[in-house]
Amino acid sequence: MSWARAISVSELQEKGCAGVLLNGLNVALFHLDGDYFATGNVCTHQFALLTDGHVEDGCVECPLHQGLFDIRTGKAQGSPVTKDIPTYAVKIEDDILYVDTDMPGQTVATTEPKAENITSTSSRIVIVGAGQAAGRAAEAMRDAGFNGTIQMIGDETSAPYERPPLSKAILTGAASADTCALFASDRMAALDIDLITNTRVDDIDRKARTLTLSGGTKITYDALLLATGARVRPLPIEGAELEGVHYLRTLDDAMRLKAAMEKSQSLVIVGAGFIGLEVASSARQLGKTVTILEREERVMTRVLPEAASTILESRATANGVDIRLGVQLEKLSGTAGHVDTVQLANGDAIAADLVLVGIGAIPNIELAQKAGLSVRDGVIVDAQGRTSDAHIWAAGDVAQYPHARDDGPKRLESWHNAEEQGRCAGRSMAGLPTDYSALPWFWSDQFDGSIQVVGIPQSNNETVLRPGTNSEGPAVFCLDDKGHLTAVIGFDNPSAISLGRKVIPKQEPIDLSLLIGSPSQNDLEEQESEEMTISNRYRWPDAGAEAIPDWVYTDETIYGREVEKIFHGRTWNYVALEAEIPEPGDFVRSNVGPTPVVVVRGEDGAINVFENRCAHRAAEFCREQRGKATEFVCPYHQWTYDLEGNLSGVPFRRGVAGKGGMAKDFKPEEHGVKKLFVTTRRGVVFASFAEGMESIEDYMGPEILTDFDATFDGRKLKILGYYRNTLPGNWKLYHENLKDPYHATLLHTFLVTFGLLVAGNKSEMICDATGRHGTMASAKSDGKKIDEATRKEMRAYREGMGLNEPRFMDFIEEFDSPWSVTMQTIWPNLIVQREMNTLGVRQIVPQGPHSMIMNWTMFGYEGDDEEMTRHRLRQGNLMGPAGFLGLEDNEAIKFVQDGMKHSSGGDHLVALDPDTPTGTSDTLISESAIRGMYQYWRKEMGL
Amino acid sequence: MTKIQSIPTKQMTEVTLDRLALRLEIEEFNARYCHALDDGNLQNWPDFFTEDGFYSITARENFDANLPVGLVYCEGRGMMKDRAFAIANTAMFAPRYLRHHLSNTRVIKEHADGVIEATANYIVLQVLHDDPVSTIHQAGFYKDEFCRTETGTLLLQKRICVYENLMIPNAVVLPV
Repeated sequence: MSWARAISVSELQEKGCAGVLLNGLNVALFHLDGDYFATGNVCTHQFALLTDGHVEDGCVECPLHQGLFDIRTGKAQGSPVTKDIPTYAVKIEDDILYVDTDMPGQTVATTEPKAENITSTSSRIVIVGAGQAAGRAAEAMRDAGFNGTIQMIGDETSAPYERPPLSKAILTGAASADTCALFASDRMAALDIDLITNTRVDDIDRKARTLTLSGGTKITYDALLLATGARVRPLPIEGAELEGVHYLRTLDDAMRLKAAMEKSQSLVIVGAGFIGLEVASSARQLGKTVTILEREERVMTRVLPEAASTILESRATANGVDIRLGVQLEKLSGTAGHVDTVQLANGDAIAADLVLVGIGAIPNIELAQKAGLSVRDGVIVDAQGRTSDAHIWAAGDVAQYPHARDDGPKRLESWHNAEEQGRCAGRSMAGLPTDYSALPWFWSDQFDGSIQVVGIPQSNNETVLRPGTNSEGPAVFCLDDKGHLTAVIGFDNPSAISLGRKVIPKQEPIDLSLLIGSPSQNDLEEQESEEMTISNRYRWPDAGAEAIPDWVYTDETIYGREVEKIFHGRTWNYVALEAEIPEPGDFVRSNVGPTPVVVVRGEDGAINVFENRCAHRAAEFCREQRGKATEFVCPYHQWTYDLEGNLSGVPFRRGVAGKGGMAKDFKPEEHGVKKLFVTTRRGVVFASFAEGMESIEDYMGPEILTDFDATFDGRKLKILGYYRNTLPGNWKLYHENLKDPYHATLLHTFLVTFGLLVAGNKSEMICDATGRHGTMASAKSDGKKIDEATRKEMRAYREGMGLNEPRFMDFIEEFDSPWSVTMQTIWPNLIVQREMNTLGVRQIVPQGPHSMIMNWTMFGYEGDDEEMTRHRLRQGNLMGPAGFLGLEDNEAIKFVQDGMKHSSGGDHLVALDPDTPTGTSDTLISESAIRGMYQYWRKEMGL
Repeated sequence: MTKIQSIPTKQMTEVTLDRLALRLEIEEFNARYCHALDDGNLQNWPDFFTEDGFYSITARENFDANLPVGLVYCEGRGMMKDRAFAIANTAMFAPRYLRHHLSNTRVIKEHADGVIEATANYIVLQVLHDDPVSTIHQAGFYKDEFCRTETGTLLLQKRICVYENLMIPNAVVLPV
């Protein structure tokens, strides 16, 4: 015990927080809601005093990179800080605060031990509820590697199923009950979920971590997920209990409603929400008379702005639905216990042999409430899905989560929310870091149309209507008072929805003309005239495919367009081999086209690719060719990015002493570096600037994939080293050289001199369907099979020209392929080289029209013995900028570029093998692959 | 104050002279080696190596990371002869002059078995016949192991040319 006098209580009350030096330690003192706390005052990330920072919501924010620590517990609140600060015991005597730095602060009641990494087999996870969120959570746990017990307790009879079809395909008979299952039976079995149906949970004993089930059975848990969902709101009027009055929530409800609908003719729907409108649509499809009664003055008041309601209303009315707005129900009446009339307060009576009530849902929060968890409109969870009890999570309709794009917490009842939040909670429970930040998304199919909503429309939003066109339906855009887009409602209008997805997260004022979508006449003309100029200036020669004009290789405008349309367009660009970055934090610098990127393996093992350009002043911040990092710090102003490229810290963001700094509404999440989309195939990493690219397999096509997979055959790669060279030629010339089998025996006399490529060799120039990729393949002849004439020819070459060390030309069979050599050009920047046993990938980095950089990564396989590795290295003398073949290719390409630079200009002639206009050719004396590539290039370039 | 020990002057001089003599011998060797290459006498180049000598050219990047590739990778004089032959007779490349400039020759260690570890810095300038400007083709250092023949002649049993320019300008045609 060593209580040290720290500060006078009145001084701390006045300041809110203060830093003091006690026993050589920097100690931070806080006054928080009448309580006093002491913690370490030095950020665990980089050196800064926390008391120079900002106190908010019980947390202190470091001034340097905005690391957040909980003042009561010292707990680090996530990136960039991962290590907690210490807490110290405090006491007050005679208006003086004393601190004991040998003793930790009192454990605060709200901080229970955190069940982190509960991925052992002994752990038990129990999920209360067996709906969409429950199912997705269980799946995410298994995906995350959790192999302990998962027990799922549901009060229905079925395994998890999807609810969206209940009001649509199930009612119309287009789908049966079993098609709604969330998991196919084999997937369900593989997930190994212990499912208990028809059972409710009555009680949670949080201390003993025990549940009491409706039968009285008690079961224990290490971690608990509440996915109890919501139940229908009952109709509080007389006659609601009559037969023929239905609700729709469960599969059983849907089956009952379907059966009843078959026997009925006049359906009255109470409530014009999603359920009401979708059932109305299904019933109209079945030919029923449908009346919708709504208390409010328009449909879907709760979730949609008026402009959208109007469109929905007119669609429903056009389909023969009688919608009555602003009406009050008096009672339901019937005969023989079955409903036959709906009485309205205004005296009207509507005949009905079937009534559907769809007036909303009530979250099933009672269990959580009883257990003493924090509950408001739903069970309150943090971004990881965790409730106020560290062992209990909640997800789906029942959970109220901190909505990142809005002021307050939100509880959403939607399929998408159940999916995403369920997954998020599952990952979190399995010990993976996770953060729920999905942009809310709803959809509803009704009256042969589809309505989608992204974001959350707010009641005070201004709305902008974009009328429908021939190809798309209307869209409604919601803007808040700052002019930020909050939501988009699209009626058969996917492009408006996709615009919303991009723009809403930015939270910045938006140009209205962009939303309304009709660019001004000036813009159109400008754009058109630019296109006109390009196609006038760059006229393809009349000879067509047989000619390639010089400007393809020499023009700056064309090059700029290539960067935009090809390298930054819809292509997968090679960036690295996975073997270069085996561990989290491992990174390499690379390029996509000319653009520098960083390729890094994240904490979660996934590979991230982002631009090597600081969001602040564009500095190329990552300077090391390769290395290991926990974060990237731009050296200029210390802006800090995490391994995914998110901006995690801005020094002095809050200014100093209340002056300077960024604006209050500065959002670091909007200022990360530009991230690329990433995919891998057999240890090869590709990136793309384009969203929604096809899979890498589809991108390559089957013709190319076969030989790619023969090289990357599943053996782990072992990097043998790098060559890098500049090459003063246009980048496409490199592709062309490897789509030009004609040059092989003519330029590379070495091959002929030493008998590597002779007339008897089988060979093929293989192209994919688009013409952009290629494989130049040949098979080394078995010496015995060469006929006498060829042998003579070879001997003539070999006269006095034998190799001293012929073994370097040996081919050791190791591939499942008929070819001993395959040179693959994978558009736009990758060459895969398998020259017998010497293997490598080459990355093309264009440097303007006249020059490129070629990065070679040579590799073998894990498990190669020393002799095999040395064989590959010896054979490597063929390749690379000093290789017998490689140096000649580089020289020839340079000659071609030189030839265009200062000559009188003209076209290249690529006319060999006219019988094969484009694509695959089985003769070496062909240029069909080059023609195919330019056919594709012209299409991509719009030339 | 450190006490200064008195060392017999004669002994120190002998050690120093031996080292100087060895360094001069290596410099002499390297001068002949460079002359053979600069002069285009490629067929003599393998003779600077032992029969099982090793020669490679590699980037500083690979050397530092212990990655084994060589831009040129020759195990034994036979492979060097093949390369010399191929460059002289089959390879296609633009005509050029190369000139080596060596400095800072240093003996690192003389091993008991007679192997001498040494190093020297090099710059190779290149002039292409159609381009009047001479450019730095390679800049780096040799990492050498010498041994002596029975007659006492120095031969290379290992030479790794470690270049520090990140990019090879187009192609490396001749040995460094």
